[in-house]
Amino acid sequence: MKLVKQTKLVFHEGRSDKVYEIDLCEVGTNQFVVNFRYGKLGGPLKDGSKTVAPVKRDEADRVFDKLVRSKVDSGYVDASTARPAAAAPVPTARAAAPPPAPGTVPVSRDARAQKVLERLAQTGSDRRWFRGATGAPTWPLERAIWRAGELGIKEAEPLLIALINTATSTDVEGGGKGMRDYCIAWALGRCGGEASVRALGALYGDRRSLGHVKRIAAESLLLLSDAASNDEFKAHHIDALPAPLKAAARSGKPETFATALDAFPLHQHADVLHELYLIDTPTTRPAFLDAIGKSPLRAPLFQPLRYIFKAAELRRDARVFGIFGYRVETTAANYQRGYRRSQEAYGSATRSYLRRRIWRVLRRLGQAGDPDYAKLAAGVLLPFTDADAVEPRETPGSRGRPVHWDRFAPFHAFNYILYGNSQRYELKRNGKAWRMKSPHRPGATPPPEREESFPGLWERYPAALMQLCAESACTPVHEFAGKALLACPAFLAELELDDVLLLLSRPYDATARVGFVIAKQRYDAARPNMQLLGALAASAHQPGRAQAFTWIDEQRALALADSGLLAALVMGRAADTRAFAKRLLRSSTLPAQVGQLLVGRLVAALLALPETDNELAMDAVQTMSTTLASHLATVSVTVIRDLLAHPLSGVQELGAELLLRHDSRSGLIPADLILAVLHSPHENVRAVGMRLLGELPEAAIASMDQLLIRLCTDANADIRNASRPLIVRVAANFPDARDKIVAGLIDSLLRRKLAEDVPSHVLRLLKDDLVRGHAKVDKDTIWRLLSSGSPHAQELGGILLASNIKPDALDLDQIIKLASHEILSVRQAAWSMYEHDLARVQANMASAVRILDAKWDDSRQWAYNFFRGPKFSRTHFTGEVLVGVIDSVRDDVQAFARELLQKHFDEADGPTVLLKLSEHPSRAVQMFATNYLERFAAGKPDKLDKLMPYFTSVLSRVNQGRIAKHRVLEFLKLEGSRDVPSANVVIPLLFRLAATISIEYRASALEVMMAIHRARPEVALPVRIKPLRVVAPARAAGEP
Amino acid sequence: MEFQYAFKGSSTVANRPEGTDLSFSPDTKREPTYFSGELRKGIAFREAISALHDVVVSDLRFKPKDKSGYKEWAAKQEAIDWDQVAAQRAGVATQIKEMQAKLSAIYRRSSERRAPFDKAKQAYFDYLYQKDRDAWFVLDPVITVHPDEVFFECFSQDESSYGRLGTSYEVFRNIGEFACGTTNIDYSSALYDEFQKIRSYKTTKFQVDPSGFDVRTQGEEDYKEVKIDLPDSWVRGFLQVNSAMGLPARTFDLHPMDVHNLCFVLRRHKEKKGPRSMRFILTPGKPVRVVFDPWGIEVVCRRTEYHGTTAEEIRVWGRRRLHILERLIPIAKKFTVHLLGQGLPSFYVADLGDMSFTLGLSGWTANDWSTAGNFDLLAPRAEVDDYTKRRVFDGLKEKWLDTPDDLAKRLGLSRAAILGALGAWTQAGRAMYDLAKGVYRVRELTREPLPMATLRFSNEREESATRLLTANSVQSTARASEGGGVELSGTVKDRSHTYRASLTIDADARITRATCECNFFQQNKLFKGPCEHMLALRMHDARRRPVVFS
Repeated sequence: MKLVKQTKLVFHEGRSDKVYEIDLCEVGTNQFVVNFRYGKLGGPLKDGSKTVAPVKRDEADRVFDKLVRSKVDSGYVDASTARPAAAAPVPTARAAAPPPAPGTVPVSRDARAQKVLERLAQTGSDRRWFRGATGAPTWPLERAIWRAGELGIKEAEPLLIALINTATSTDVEGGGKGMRDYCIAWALGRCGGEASVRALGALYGDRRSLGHVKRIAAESLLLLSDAASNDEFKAHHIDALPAPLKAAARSGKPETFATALDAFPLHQHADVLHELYLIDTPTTRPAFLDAIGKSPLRAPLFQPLRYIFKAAELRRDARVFGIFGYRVETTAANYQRGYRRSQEAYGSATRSYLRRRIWRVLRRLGQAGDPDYAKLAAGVLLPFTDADAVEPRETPGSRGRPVHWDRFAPFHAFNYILYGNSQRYELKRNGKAWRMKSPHRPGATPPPEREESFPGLWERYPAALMQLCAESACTPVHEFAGKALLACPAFLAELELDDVLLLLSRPYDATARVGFVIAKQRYDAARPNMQLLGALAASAHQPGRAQAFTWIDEQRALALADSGLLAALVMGRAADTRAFAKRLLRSSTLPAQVGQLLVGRLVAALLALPETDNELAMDAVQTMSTTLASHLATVSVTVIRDLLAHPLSGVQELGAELLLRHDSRSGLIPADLILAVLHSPHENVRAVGMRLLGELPEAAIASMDQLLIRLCTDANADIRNASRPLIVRVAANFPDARDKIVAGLIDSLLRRKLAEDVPSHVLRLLKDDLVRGHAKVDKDTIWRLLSSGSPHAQELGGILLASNIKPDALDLDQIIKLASHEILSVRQAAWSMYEHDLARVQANMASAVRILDAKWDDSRQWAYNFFRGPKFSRTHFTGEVLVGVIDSVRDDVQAFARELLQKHFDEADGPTVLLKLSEHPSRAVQMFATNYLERFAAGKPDKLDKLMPYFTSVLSRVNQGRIAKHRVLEFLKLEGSRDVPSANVVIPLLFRLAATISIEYRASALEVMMAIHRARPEVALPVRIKPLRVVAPARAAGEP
Repeated sequence: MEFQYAFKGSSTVANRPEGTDLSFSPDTKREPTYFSGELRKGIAFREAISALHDVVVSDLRFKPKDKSGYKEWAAKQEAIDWDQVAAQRAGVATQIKEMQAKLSAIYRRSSERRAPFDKAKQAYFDYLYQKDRDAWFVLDPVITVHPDEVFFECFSQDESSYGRLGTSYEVFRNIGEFACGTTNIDYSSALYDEFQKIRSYKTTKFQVDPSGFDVRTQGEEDYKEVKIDLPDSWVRGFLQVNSAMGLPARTFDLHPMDVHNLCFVLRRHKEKKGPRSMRFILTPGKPVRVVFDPWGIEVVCRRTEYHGTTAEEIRVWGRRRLHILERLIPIAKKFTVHLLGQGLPSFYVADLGDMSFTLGLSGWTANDWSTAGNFDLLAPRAEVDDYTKRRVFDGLKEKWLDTPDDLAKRLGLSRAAILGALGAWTQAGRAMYDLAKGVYRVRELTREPLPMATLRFSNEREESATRLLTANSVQSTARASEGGGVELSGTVKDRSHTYRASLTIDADARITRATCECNFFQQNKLFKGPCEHMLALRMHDARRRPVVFS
């Protein structure tokens, strides 16, 4: 088939870009066809033909012109004259209700006691059917008994003893079920004496006494008895402990007991917990406190915990009372009221009761003016820390006003103690948490006036305040305690120096302020206490620090001689303290002795720092390295090692810094230290390590090629980047080491799963810094790189491919594979290999053209241009080669192959090409092959036989390929009529086709068969021809 | 269900000018199975294996169109429309129009500027799509070497079509050594393109061998570990279609042009509403007629005569799957159709001379709950004890393939026992019935035996429904509803309760509406599929209808 003329039309409108190509081809002598292709610009084109059968030239021209005209009319223009498609613009480059007023109502203690005594003396029926009528007592006796205990009314003792075992009711309300005895036993513990011990002993020893009565009687006995009998009692209970605990309790070592209790299955022996509180020796107490702090508030341990709580209340054991209170405040109930699950303790009702009860106990104490109030309240406050704070909240309130809740809002007794008289906080009736009164907001500075309940009681017992200042880790507690302490000037004046230092050392402003007040009173310019100055300068109270700096400046000579003071300043918690220290040290020269002492103190302090203080450590280290440089060189290697092992980066940095200075003096650093520095998790420390490594002699570095490879592939970017200059130096001077490094890096690219960003770094190194090592990389390695899954390895392979491999080193198959490679440079290398080795390509055209089938568009595009070029002529494109190209399954390759066929087709190859084309499965090629039927198969019965599968395939296409079918049928008609053997081949095929339900093709099949039959009557037809029967037309109505 | 394979290298087709080498890489974890030979009938093989590929990638499930782009545009447009409405009211339309012109110019410019980027992005996505295309294939085809033929089997992605290509040894020449057995082969979409290049004038070597043809280039991956997580429904579907092959069926032959005609009707028409079924009207001694619903187009297969004894009409669904056969029309001598009954699997066996291609179609293309409970193809057919089963399997494995009669003679067992045992092995995926030759063959689908207990039912409700049915606690009445469907209602006694249930089955035999009194339905309606009582009702009703193999 020869291309006679061709027109390419294009159509642009809006987003539409279409092409229409029209060909006029010669398929035989004076036989022409008009074919067309159309579709989106750049996309696969669809084929068609305007001539079902070949026509004469003038007819073909007419069809051709008509088609061109119709397309031009509908808006197409000639591609050669069309304006170029609007070039896409290049994107530019920018591309509570107030608590009961405490102590305000002066109550005569005696009168109150008198009332209690009267009630206790009033015996008789407890039944109160008609309250008003009989004048029977309305106050339950048990309440009065309990009150007697609370108020500690000594006079009640005989009355109480007399009341033992008098309850007749079966009801708890009437003192039954041991209720009265329980209350008496409790009250006697608080107000009893000698006589009570006997009575309680009897109650405890009585077999009929109930368990809870016995328990509380034992507690009271412990309070009232002498030390000897208490010890005996405790020894007896220790004897009764399970064996492992017994031994540990007797060992006298709290740690041993703690370990034993830790290992002991408390939940299986819940009673032991209460037993331990009865025993309560210095050995068992720490472990016991720990246990009640962490035992789950669930069965079976909750019950003993409750007993312990009651006992602690009786004993006024602030610690245990406080811990239990804290547990109740911070532990959610196990179920909500009304949703009780069986066997479950500590529901919401219980929790609510216990929370209220804790404050009730304190309130009663406070109202009674009991000094134990301060002790117990301190015990309740102490377990709370800043970590218990919740986020301040704002909730919608009534009338659209938001309600604010502060950080410690949920805690009941805690807020009562601290804010009972506050203008800021209140607890609404039935409220569960303390809200803020308007206009106060969370986070504001606390007011200067005091806000706590029972302030007078605190002032009477300032030791509790001191305890809070010393032990609490809770800001509001310190705010309260600081204010309260300042109201006790007499107590403050008496304080020891140690206590003042303690106050100053606390990290709470309110407490440090108290220390500052005292320090100001005690400061004497003539004989300044340097210890106090140091503590004040490092305190949390800013005005105090400022004052201390002034004082130290005044006493500079003394200060500089005091290494302890200087160390305290350098390690100061506040940034301004450290800045002051730096300024002080920089502006003066320390004597060597003081300097070394200071460095020693600082190193010790740094080593002792907890992991959270990195900023402090960094500052201190900076101060040391800038101001104490001359004193640093003396630190020993052992200390450096300790510093390097410290988890804080600041401390490690000091170690690395010291190592650097050390090096400059002696020139010898153990290798393990360098490695330790290089493996540090902190960037700055590793940087020092890299510097140390860089200072080693080059030959030594070159010998450590494995280390260098490891550094280059390290997961830390700083190490990788810092190792790069080393690599560059080694690569420049040590070729052997360079080759080893190149091999190692390539290996790591191929084998190891490298961390993110590492492959790109390795690639950069290999590409830029180790270029001279490329020469040694062999062909196999390059091929491995190219076929690796990693894109970086592939890219490197592409680079090496261009430089290391000569075009003839690879065979054509390999080059063709490279043309489908994912990396552009590799594909380009493959193209250039083709271009450089033209002779080989031309000699092996059949294999070489397979590059046209490459996976990548750019490779195919290149290949089209390459094979279109002037270097290829008809001699190269033999029929076999052309068929090889058209065998591709890609539409564009097939189109290119047809273009080649039209250009380079040799008539002599015609018959074979036709046969080979006929086996192609694609519809487009089948259609294309019809163009050759006429010329190369006409009049050749042997060819006809071989083409039968092709005809069957074309004619069996379902609802497709109309033109091809028509041409084939035309051809079959022609051939079948030619001679008998041909007719015998064609007829079965037509008979097969005649079974279609497509009216068009069934008719065509029959028609062709008939035509053959007419031409060759001797050929038998598989169909029977019914003679035509003429039916007379029905007569129209009205006709005779 | 997770399957693990280890292929040595990938399957490759090397095309050279002088020939083609097909090398399938088998699963090295299974018993060694190998075969090699040279294809004599390349073209026919090419067409047949391409049809098999069509089965592998066939997925006719409904996929909703991605309308996000349109919706975005519509939202923008709506905003503009509202603006316009507001503008007209305020009398500032001209100003707005001006602004809009400006805005659209900006939009246009922005899209023009972004065009190269968007184009590149799309190209990249296309590239990724092509690159990961192999992830599409659910299960690589299974290849089995037997003393008389080599055959490939596969199952489609939409769990509805089964394909089997059997190639007898006549197709090959220069057959090398072979070892019988079954193995999975590595398969990728690139292979399909290479198949298309098979030609008769080029020698085509065919090989299933772990070692492959040539020494692999150094450094390439030696082993390819593949883990495939197959849905249970997929495996169940495969086994259901497989076990259906062994059941008695209505059989007749079709001329290739008859299949052409069936496809022709489907190519020319597009159904927009149901029923989407195809009715085979079989009358003894008359040509087979096929009627396409809902158009009522009738195709008369004039060159086929039905040889059965009773007149019947069998409806099948999922007819678009027949297009898989199109490539076989030119090379097929005839197609044999096996119909099991309405809504049951159907089989089309193409006779390709020395090859045969079996296309098995499940009852519907979508195997979802709406057709559940129709038939239990994995129900045990006959009670056969384990010892006999084992004997039958060992007996079959001696010769790899045998007819039930010969096997009965050889083992001295009754034909019923043999059939029961073979049915059980087929259901377990360890044997298969070859429709083309009428023999049972050993074919172990997987390396480890499949967990049959979990596979028989798709959920526990199906299991309970079967239990209710066997306990005879179902009563149902059916009455025809509008549009050719059926309305079923009845009671199901489940322990102490009796539930009333009713369901509507449409003309496509799918459950369209259902109610039940049970808790499952009250809570889930039909969102989790029908409850056991509805299923029991449907199964009870199905029992009364004529089923060919019942």
